[in-house]
Amino acid sequence: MNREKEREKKFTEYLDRMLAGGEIPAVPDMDEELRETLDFARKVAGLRREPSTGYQSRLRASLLQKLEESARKSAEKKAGFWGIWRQPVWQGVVTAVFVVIILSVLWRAGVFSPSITPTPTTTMTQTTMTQTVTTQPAQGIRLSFSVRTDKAVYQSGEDVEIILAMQNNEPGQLTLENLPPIISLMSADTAKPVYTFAGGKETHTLAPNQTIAFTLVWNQEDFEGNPVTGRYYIELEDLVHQGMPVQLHLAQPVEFDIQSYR
Amino acid sequence: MFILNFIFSIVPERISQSTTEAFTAFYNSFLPKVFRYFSYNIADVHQAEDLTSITFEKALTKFESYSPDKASPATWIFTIARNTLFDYFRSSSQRKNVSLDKITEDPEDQQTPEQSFLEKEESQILKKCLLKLSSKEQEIISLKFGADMNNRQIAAMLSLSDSNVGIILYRAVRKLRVEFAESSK
Repeated sequence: MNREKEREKKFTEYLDRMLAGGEIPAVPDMDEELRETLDFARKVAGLRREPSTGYQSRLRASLLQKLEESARKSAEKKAGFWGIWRQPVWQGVVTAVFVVIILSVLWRAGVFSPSITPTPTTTMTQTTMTQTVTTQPAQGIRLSFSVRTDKAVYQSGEDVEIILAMQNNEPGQLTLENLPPIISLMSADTAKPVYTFAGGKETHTLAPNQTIAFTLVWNQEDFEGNPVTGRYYIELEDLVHQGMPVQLHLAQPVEFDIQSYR
Repeated sequence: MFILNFIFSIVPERISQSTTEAFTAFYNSFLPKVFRYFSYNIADVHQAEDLTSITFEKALTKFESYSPDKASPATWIFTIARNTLFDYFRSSSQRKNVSLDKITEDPEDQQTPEQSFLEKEESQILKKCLLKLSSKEQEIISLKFGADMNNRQIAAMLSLSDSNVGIILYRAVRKLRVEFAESSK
């Protein structure tokens, strides 16, 4: 039994060597049965025939032709989808969409917007004082607001003209409510209001860079109707934009004097 | 527009090119083995050629879906070849009905001058003896001698152990030897 197993094991070993083109070693005491079976295995291996070259080349050509047909059909199938995009019209549409998207992104990034950095300016003349204020950036709107009086010094009894002007510096329209805003005339000596103009009820929509102006006239009388003299300055109350108050700050006080007759 | 054209035109051509190259390499590597596998199972050379062609046509249609992670190329192609052979036997019921008349030589086979008439006759008798083996013995002989597979590969394909393949192989060759000796008398 063991002898038979040994034969089978050796047979596999020698057969693999023979089929790989190697020689079977000359073993003097090799089992006769094994030797004869190996010799016969050599005869069986002799039946190995290569396919003829003619057959090989014919089959190769035929298979490659089928492969090409298959690839062409596959490409046609894909062209069902890709073919649409190969048409110039669609390519034009796709390109236009890309361009619009890119321009939109650039527009939103502010590349095409004009520089709208507010520049606080103060212009003073001999008779006129002008103050320009801007809203705080955190409040989200860009608005130039100028306040001036028609003269710097008034005689007692003269009308004091207060001119308010505001310009929309936003790229789009801007709607302001309750115009003109509340304006208080403050005594420089006591820092208390001597007269207050009530806020208006007008609503105005300003186009980009559009300016609107209001002129208020004060007859130099306080809350109780008494004429006043001295040094005064102007204070502004909040504006209203989309229902929310917008604080206004004067960069410098707008002041004027009322002189009494001597 | 140039970029879009480039993207739209690159996809299908690249795929087919690589497939052609890969299939050609695969064909060159396995065609002789598959043909020999069939020629150990089928007496008729032309029939062996036909079955080889069918096997590669099947492989061609499945080639793009073949995954080397699932099976080695040898296991894959010989699984197709085995199924093709079973289909052939099933449809023609010819397995055990082979006569010596049906054993043909390859018409393009170049015979050396030394090859004697006796050798040719021996070869034909041997082929006939091969066909008398059991289907499992014949399959192992054809995978070993024809497909150049080692015992481990054959064992994996036929769901046998390595040692079992070795035993069946040894006994099959010994049986052939005895059969051949009797047929040659």
